[in-house]
Amino acid sequence: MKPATTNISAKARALAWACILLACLASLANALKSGYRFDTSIMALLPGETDTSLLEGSRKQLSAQFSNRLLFLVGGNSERLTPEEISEFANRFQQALVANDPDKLIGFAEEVRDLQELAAPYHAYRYKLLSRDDRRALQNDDIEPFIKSAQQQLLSPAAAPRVASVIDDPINLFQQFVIEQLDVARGNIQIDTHGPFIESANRHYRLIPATLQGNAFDMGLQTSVLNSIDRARLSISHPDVELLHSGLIFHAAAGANQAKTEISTIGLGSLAGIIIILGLHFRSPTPLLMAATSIAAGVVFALAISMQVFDRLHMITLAFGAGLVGVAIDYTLHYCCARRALGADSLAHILPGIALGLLSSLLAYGAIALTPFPGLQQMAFFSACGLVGAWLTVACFYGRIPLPAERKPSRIAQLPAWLIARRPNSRNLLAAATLTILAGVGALEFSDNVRNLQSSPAELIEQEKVIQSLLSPPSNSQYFLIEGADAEAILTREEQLRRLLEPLIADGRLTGYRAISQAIPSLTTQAANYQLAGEAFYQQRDAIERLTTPLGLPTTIATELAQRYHAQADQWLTFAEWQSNHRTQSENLWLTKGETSAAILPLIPGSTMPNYNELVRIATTLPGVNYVDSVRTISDTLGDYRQSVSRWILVAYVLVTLLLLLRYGASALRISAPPLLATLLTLAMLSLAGQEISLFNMLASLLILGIGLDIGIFLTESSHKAHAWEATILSTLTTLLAFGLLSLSQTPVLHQFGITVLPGIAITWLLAMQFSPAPTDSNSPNPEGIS
Amino acid sequence: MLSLLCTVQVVTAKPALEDIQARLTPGTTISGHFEQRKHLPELPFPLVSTGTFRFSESAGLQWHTQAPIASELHIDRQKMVQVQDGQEVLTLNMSENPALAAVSQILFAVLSQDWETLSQHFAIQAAIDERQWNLQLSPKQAALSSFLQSIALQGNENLREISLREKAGDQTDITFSQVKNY
Repeated sequence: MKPATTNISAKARALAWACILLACLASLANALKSGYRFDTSIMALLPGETDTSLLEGSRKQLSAQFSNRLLFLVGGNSERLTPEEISEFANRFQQALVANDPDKLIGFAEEVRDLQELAAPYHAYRYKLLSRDDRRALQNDDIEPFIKSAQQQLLSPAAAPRVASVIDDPINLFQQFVIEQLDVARGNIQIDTHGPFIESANRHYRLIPATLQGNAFDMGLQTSVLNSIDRARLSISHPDVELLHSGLIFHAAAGANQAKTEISTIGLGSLAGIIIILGLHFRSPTPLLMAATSIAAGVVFALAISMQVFDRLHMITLAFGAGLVGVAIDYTLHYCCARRALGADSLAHILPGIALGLLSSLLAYGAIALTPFPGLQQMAFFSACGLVGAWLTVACFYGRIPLPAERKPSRIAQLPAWLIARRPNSRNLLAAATLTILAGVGALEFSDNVRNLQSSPAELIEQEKVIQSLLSPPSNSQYFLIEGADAEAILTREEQLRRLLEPLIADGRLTGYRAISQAIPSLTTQAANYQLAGEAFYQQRDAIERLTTPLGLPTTIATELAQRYHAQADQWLTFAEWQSNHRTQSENLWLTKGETSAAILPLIPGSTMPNYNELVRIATTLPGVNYVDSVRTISDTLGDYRQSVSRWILVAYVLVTLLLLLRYGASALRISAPPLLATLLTLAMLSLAGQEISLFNMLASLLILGIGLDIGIFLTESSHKAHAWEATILSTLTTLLAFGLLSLSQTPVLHQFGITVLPGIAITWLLAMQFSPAPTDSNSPNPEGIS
Repeated sequence: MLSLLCTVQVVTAKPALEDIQARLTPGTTISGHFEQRKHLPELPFPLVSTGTFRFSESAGLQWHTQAPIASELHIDRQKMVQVQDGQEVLTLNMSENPALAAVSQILFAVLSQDWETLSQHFAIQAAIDERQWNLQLSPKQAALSSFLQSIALQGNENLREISLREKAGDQTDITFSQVKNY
């Protein structure tokens, strides 16, 4: 190659890369200006984006309901404060919230409905509707209590308001049905003249439901809403009054803050460490500038492309990406070390090594990107782009940057020689390693529970738990999904299912459930109800007169009662009509996707839950019915991927070793054995330390493979020369720094990556040193040669 | 007509209630006879019932209907129990029946002359002359006004008449007689 062509092509390369980077910068600036939004939901890390089934729809629908709801509980010790006083605090809080906040942010949901309002859409079908208790009582063929109770209520000075006139609903069957609807809607919540409240032990809580007007993940909204809540909290500061709150926005805000803090600590920590290491080592600003350039280029490239590819980048991706700084700098380090030792043509010398290194890292990230976890795909894609960007910067820009040559090997470069002279016998070391690994296998335990990934602050989760136990709301992760040809088929199946669940409720294994057929019985059940009410009362003249005569009502009234019943024989409450009057309820419990529909029957978990297998078994006895435990499903998916990632890692080691054998012959083992052994040792040590191994430890093992191979490949490519040792020491240090900082993360996923990669890479380097031939002077001829 | 106007003061605030309080015979327990006329929509004439009652803040209200059907009703702050032929036919917990709880809370406040509670929930208009007093109560909060239209009270040294108008059209007029306070 003539120098001139090299120069021109080098210039063209540099120019092209500079243009690409400028374009990336422009696109980045544009995306940020047009309000690009970052995601902080832990759910976004989980699979499911591509699943279009009804099942997936049901899960999304259930979680979407919760995303905009806020609930405040103003509570107090009921021995020290009266309900009125607590209610006064609640009012003060709500008023402060309204005053602080433009009403765009929070609209207070009026969830309390009165009986009349609930009754109206059902009135025309009242003879077809029975409460569960009344149906059972009527089946027992005992009408007397109904008659007596109706007479008493008619004469009582204090009676609940009627939902229908005495002629329309003489024995209160319709009244009871409507009351049942109200009970179901309210759950544990009680109502008095001040509004909704809950009592528990010696505490009295007033409830303030609110709706968030906007997206819970919008960080601007988070700040403004949380600020106004904090200010409103001041208005109720009292030693005996507490404020509890629940809502997605609190978790989203906590997640965003945590991610922001971690991005800055991990990112800035890494940078500071790198500056110190590079400054001390090179004692020249040029390598620092070069490192900064390649890192900046990597970050700009990765951000610009990722933001084009993903609608919403996850904050955790950025935190993980911040750890990448320590890896992306490796190429610069290799170049700088080689340049000082070898002079002008050092780029050509290290290029194959760092190219292979990049390739092995890309393979590792590529494997992570193949998992169906959107969050992981982002992290892997972002990291891979960052590495490519950093690598291209080294390859395109650095060829002609002069660095003062330093013929004398630096002190750090002498470390391997010093260590190698003192390294233990490989056989003893391997024996010790094998023992450790075997002990680790004995202690090995796996954990795939998705709840372990929950990263919200403990205090927030504790509040959420208290509120859950007070309200005992229907679960959004444990439910039956009931499919059928049409609404009637679905409702009928759901009613069959409810009968099968009765024994579980009776013996206390299940607290209850929400079901759409509680509010809209199937036509079959409506017909049965009509017949039941008729046979017990409306078609029995003497029963009607036992009600009317003692009250002094004329026989014309008795006739009128029966006539109204008969006149309704052909009136049916269809699902379509019901749905048009009950939008919210049908949104919560009914699902439509194209032509197919399904009902969702969420369980209300008590202190105990029935066995998963038992619920699945109940579901299998009915066609079209499935039991879903989405937490369990996700945990199972995590487990499946943990196993397959483990297998991929083994396959990857075999393939990589085979490829390396082609290029390096027997030396290939020197490259692939250290990361493999390091991974096994790391997992063994984590197990011995009591850590349960999850998918994320295994994915981190892929990184040990990707980054660890770099070390061996580069050492071998550079024939274990001093400058190569120097570069690997520096790059290992920066990698350890980055993942060491990651291991301090409060986000479980990042923490697990950190605590796996940190020891993994350290051990890989030590093993590479253990298995390497003695280092040679950078200028001496290649002792082993490259095959 | 003119003389009537002169003797009747229409007042809305505390002094009137204090005046009424001063006239009422003091006591913790009130008992007597009642006649109740319940006007229900769609019924051509009111349901008339008579019986005896006894109320104290501690024991609640015992409402013994003697005609047309013998029955007993016990209401306290926690529950309402209906007894017929010695059997409990219905028990309602106040916490599960907010409307019933509100109605009985008002009834208790009326019977125990708890003007403070009444003023909390109602705008009160009073008309007083030498022989008797009339109070007109209109609910302030939506929770009450959703089913209750108004309450009218009339009395002299004792409470004589309660008239409850519900939004759905029910009207309950209760007249007390032979009232004793002790």
